Amino acid sequence: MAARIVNEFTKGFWKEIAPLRFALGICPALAVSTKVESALGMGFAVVFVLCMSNVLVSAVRNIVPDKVRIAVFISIIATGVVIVELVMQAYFYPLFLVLGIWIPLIVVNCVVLGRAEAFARKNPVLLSLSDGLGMGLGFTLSLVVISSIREILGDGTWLGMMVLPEAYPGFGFLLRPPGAFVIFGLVLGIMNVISARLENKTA
Amino acid sequence: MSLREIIQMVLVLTIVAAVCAGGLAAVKMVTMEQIEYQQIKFIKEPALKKILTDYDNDPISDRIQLVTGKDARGRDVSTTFFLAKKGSQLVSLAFESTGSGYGGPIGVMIAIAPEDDVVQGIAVTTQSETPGLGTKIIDDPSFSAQFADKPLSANFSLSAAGGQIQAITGATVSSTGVSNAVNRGIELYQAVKPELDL
Repeated sequence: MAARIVNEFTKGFWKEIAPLRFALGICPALAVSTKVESALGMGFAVVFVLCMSNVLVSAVRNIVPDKVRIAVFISIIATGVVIVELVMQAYFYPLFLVLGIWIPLIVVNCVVLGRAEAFARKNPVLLSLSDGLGMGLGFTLSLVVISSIREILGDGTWLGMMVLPEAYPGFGFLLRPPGAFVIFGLVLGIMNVISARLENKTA
Repeated sequence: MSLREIIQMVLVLTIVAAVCAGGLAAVKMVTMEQIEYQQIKFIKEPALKKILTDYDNDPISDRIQLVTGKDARGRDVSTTFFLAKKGSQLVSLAFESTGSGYGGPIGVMIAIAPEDDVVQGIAVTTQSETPGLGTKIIDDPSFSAQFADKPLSANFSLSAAGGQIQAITGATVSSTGVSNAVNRGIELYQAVKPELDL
């Protein structure tokens, strides 16, 4: 059991990292990855919503009739998202101003509903929590990787600190939406090449 | 579909919806006050900092609400007044007023010294004007400076309307919006001054 819990947790970081393996949840991954700071804020909001929804969906999995399960899942997810939105407004207002519309849009983040449907409704609470935590942190990791590349190459900063020489002119293209697609594609490609190599070695 | 199934579906959905709504109401109640404070702090405080000078309290905690009129449906409309004090002496009070601009309402924070009825300064809080043109009402400090240090009896209309304010070239509608907001604010101040008990 303990091994399974660890396994469900770690799969979210590489083997099944959601945005890069299944292209799930890439809408916020593209939109808020201009700065590492907003990527982290978004990531942790998703971690919270994902853990909460996985735990609750798993807890009620035996009493919810199949025909109304999606409605129940969405109610649970939407509640979690509004809680995040209110708490963020109350205690992290500047972050709330940056993330704005993307917070309520977590409701339709495919990773969250996807994990409820594919995992939490068939597995016990502890495994679902571990799955949610791993998937959420994996999502955060993808956002941090993409936003690091965009912020460093686009602006010359990382988490707001100067990392490239002052004279670096900046590459504004990467900070605009098309740049997000290009970087996302490159990261996806590099990841596929690495996985293919790893598989060849073990085969 | 059996009757049992139908009842179970209705029951589960009702309970889930009720629990979710209850939870949200609880969170909303707990965070409401804090959210109001944060909104004031991050949206109104920059404007307050610009126009209030020489005070030693926190005008955001020392704010009062007064009913200042009625809306179209007869409900009370209240305005928040931020009180700036030095020692325990009230030196100025600031409040927000609105006028319509080119892209929507323009919010203007006005600071008035109650002692001698002088407008100490104004600052735009919210606006959705055309970037580069109408936004000069914020970006060009010399525009809002025209309102500062003038007695309430001054004419705050644009010069085209016989007043003392020079409109920003290319942004007449936005300038009019600010000027209207100030005029409306002064009217409001004079109406509630007796109530303020200064």
